[in-house]
Amino acid sequence: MNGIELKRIDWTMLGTILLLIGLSACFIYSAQFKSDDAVGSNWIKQLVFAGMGLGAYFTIVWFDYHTVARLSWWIYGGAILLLIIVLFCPALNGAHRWIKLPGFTLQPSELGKIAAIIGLSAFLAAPDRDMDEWKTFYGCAAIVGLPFFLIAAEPDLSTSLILAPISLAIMLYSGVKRRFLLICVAAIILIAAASCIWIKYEVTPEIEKMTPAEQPKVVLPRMPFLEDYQKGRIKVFLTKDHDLADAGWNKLQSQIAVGSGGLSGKGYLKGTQNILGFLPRTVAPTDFIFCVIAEEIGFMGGAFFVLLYTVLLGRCMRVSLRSRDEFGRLMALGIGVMLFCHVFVNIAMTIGVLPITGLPLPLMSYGGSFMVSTLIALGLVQSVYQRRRIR
Amino acid sequence: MKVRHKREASNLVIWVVFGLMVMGMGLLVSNLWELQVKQTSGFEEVFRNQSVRRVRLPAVRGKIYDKHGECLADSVPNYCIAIFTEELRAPRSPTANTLELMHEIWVRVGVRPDITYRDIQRHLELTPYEPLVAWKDLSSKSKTRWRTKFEEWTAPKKGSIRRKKIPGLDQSNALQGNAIVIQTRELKKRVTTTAANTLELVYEISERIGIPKTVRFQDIKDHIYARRPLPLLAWKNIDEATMAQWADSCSNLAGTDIYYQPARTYPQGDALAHLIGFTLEADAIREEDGGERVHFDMRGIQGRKGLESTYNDLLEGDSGFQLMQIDVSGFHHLDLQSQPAKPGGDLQLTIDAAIQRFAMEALATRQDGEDPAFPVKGAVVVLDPDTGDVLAMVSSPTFDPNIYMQSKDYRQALLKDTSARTYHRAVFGQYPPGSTFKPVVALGVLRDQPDYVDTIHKCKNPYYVGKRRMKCWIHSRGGEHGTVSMREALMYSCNCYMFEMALENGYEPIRAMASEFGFGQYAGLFPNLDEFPEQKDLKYGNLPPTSYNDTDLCNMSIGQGAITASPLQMAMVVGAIANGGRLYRPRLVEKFRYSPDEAYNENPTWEIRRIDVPMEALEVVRGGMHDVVMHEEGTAEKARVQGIQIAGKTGSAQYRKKVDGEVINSVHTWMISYAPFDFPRYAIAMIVEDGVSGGNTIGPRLSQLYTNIFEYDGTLLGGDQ
Repeated sequence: MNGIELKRIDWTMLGTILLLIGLSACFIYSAQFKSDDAVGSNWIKQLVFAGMGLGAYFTIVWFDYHTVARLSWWIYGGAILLLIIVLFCPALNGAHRWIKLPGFTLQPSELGKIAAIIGLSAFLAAPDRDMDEWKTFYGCAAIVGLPFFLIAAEPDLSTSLILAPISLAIMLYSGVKRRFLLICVAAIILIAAASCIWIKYEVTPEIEKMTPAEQPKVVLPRMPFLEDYQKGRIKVFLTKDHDLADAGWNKLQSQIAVGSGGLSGKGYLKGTQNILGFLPRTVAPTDFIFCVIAEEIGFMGGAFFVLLYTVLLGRCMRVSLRSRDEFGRLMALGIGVMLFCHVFVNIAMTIGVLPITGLPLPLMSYGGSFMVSTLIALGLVQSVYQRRRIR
Repeated sequence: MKVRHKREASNLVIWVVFGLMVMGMGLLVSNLWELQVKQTSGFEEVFRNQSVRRVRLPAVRGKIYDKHGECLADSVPNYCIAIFTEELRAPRSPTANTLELMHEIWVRVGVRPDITYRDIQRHLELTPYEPLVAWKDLSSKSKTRWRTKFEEWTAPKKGSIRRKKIPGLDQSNALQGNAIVIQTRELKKRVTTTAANTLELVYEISERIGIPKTVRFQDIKDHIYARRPLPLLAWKNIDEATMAQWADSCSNLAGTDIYYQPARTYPQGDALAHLIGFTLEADAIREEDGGERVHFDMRGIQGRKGLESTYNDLLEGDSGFQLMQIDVSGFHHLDLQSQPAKPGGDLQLTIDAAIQRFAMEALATRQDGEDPAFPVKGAVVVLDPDTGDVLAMVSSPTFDPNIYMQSKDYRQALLKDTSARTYHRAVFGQYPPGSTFKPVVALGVLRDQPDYVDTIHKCKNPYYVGKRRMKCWIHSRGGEHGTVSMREALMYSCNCYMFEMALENGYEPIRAMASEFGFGQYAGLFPNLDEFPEQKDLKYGNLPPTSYNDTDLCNMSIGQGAITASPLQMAMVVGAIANGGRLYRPRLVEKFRYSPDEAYNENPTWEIRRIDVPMEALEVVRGGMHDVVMHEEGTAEKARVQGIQIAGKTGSAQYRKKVDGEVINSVHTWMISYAPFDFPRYAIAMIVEDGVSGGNTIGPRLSQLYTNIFEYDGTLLGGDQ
């Protein structure tokens, strides 16, 4: 049943989204308005992206989400194809994350996450699915595993890791056997702990330079898989060492910026830290936008933003509860978890609680692909709400 | 068929998930609270350190005066036209954009553009939408250069295949025939950088005042990158006419002002160049010196040679510091606190500027047979024998420190000058003393054997020491001195007498006496002012400990061979002979103070030692030196001044030098002297390199110097000769 019924729209959620987009433009302007050589008009671009995203949003709300369920395998297949194509595109900054198209660049991993959620939800919501069978579990693992490894191969480890909590939540909700999930959780914890220990004690060039007597007692060989910069960031996080290369610099400056904000901040457009270039200008409006916010409007502003996101997540969860059918329920839950992971990891990284990753802040960070894909995801949630169960 | 799980359990999952999310958000807020509210003081301090800049402000450098208070080194303002870039932010200016692009192209073409600033302005006023031809007729060489540079300039970014677009230049058609064309319509609405605005202002000022611009676009960019809150000195050291013109036509322009830098001037010009030295831009401050970090260093000046360098700490004063907060764009925002600079202290020298000038003129006056094409190379030192005060100290040839400080070309030229103009010959020049050493030899022998004064030796030609023939100077003129006494030996400067005397007494008495007179020892011209003076055991000049053989001994007895001394040392020697055997440390600084409002501290005179020499012996030597000038057969009759009794000793030290690969014999001509004979007030050592003989080369110069000095101090009434 296509169409939009205004009475059935979740206005709280839409209002929160629009408020966040407006604030996003304000703070992107603040992050770049003074730099001598900056493009200076990024905030306008951001508004243009948001406009495009909102167009997609309302289109999706208009369509019955069951169309999405029917097309789920096409959507999933298309996303996988894009993820494969991107690996053959020329590398930018050493990673194959973007497909250059005339006029804009596409980041397939953003779509890949949504496609994985849709695919997994459709797979588990199918009426003949038996939750107790190993087959179902293997199917889920395959659906999530394929995009996971494709994204990790770009390499974009942090984005691919987001898939883990999403799929766990969806599987838990749909009633896959707890034993399966326990195995997954145990494996993830084990791998994470092992790599942390490995990174902390591995052989580094500095250690290699020392004489055997000086070397620390526990030394592990070089770690495979992870790129050097990724290891660096995790190492900065584990060792609390600020001097380590540029990963440490960003972390320290971000912490100083947030910390110098105080209770009520320095005032809008008066954040010295980012504009003087201590916080690198390239990351201030993208991954570190929360840093600008916290510096300029302080703890009260930062907490307000956290509250806004909590409201948004709460509405997603509410949609999941009120959904007419299993597919909508699972999809809304998955999207909610995805947003939460982005918000949590990004803010935690800004204030130095988690290592630095490349995860942007949904609806706030500057970037077209991410803005549009976030709005598409939220459009799906709204679409589910449109066609909810009415008591 | 299996029954599916109940839905109710699943709803619980949603609540659990949401609960976890809220907990996560709560964790973030609590961490934010921790970081922003509880720990905030720590981070605010870090933040303050990052936005506050320390600027060093140089102090006014102290002055140097002569004995009578005449200023020898003064601090003067050096006026500059400064541009305050912070006032030039943001206005969009098509002219500035065009100028910026023109400079960017200029760097890549390497040829001056064919348009002026006014052309650009006119073009933008009248036909802004038409293309502007900036280079009309490029040679094929510069076209090739431009093509490769343009290629590099527009090279596509990494990971892209599209060439960069340079606003204002056609991607494909920038070079039209032999011309480079700027599309000004593309530059009309563009944001203008501060550097471009600054460049436009520089052109505007240059146009209004009519002086060529001296600052490059790269300098402007560097300044804005690194020293943004400080003024950019676009023209340094401008003259008064330019300043008046600036005030007339540019003072209404925003962002420009007159700024002054400290500079040094030496009213005496080249007369004291070696002694006082000069200043150049100070070194960047080192972090370990100040303790705290200095972000912006308004560099002052620093002494680099001579007294300016030796007493730099006293003269320099203490730099002031200013803390300024910079705003979000890195421009100067607020002055926080400042610590004013403490002006430097002053020195009053023992130098008498008038005597210094006389000495310089006397040295420069050419005598018969001297080639005016070459500069006179030599030195004069005038001491007060009763105190060791240095009244004049001249090295020749000299240079002008005022030009030296300003002109790089002049400095380069001096480096290539073969006559070593910057070499301080009076202090650092080491020469064999020649016959001026003979009074010391005589005194050495007379201290051991007071009766030797009556000994008579014969000057005969030829004269052999062992198998080697030695010469008295008169032998080469075909004569001989015959039978001479000691006093006559000094008067005639007879070598043979010295040979005989040295051979009979050996080297030791000569060495002992010479050592007491300060040969081979540190003179201590530049002591630390606030410490008790200490005779450092440093080598200065050369006095061999033993003689190898008789020939060597004979050579040294007439001041040749391995013995060397500086003109300053010889002046000390003659001073000690004149005052009856007290060897004074030469004193340059009479008084000094650490700041201009303090009283002067006296720098005491200091006797190095009392030379142990019998008065009778000294009388004989002084008598001999008197005869050198005053006796009609003396070697230095040309040094006489009517009405003054002068004592002296000539010397001609032969040495060999290579000129164009050819070895020629040449002579350093010396004279040491004091006057008046009975109550000496001046002790002088003078040397001219490559002269004829002491009497002929130095004699007339010394006479001129004495005449001027005694007229100046009133002993002689000027003009009655």
